[in-house]
Amino acid sequence: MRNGPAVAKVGLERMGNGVLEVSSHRGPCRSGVIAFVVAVDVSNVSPAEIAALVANLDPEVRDAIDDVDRTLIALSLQQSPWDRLRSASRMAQTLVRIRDGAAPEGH
Amino acid sequence: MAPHPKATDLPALLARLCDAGVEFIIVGGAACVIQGAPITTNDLDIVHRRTPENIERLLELLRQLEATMRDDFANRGLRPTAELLAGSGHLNLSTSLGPLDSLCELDGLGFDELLPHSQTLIDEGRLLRVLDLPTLITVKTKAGRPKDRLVLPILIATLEERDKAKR
Repeated sequence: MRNGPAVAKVGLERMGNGVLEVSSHRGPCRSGVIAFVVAVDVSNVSPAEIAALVANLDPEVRDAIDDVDRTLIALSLQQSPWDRLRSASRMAQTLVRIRDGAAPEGH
Repeated sequence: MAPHPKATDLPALLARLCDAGVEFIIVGGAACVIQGAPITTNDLDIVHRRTPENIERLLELLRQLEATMRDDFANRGLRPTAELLAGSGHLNLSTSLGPLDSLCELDGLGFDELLPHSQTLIDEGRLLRVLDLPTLITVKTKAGRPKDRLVLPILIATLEERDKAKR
């Protein structure tokens, strides 16, 4: 039994300008029970490109990057893309219900 | 016409688009979520391919989902048309599964121009094309609305965390 997320690189397969990468985003999994997510990433990002993106932001936004809770990102990245959408959609609906419940009558 | 339910089901909406064979790229908040950003989203934004065949597939699905223009305050139940879907505007729609914004172009770029800036994922047997994080960051930086500025630090942090995980 494996304890970490399974990641299988299958080498480089040309698809347009990009590469074919096979990896699992499902967290702990039993050997032989690997659900794959196939990602064709046609835009590999280098650290220099990330730095350039950050440099283009205004200082307020740039400062806020350090305040982001990285744990939440790590947890999100462990989910599959569909599960990320399901969680986000459920949470949005919960927030709407709370907002509607908190609104004064007639609003 | 029955009013659309208040509760949305974005995964079901997305699944219906995939199963109908519609060619599209997921953009906006849903793309940020799918790329791993821990934010919430209440609608689905897509850029659809503007070939006649694809527009017909999308239009047929929109008929099934009883799609109407969302921001028509006169509440006339205006329906999307092939002409509108072939144009260059944004169609903000209300469907039986939730809000769907079908964009002909994003920042002047159509499906074919955005394709090199997208990532293709296959999960649960369905193929998803999603705008990549650097392009999402660029688009949201340009848009500059308060809601975009709020999300930008999270998108940058997500990009950094993914980059760390790759190394």
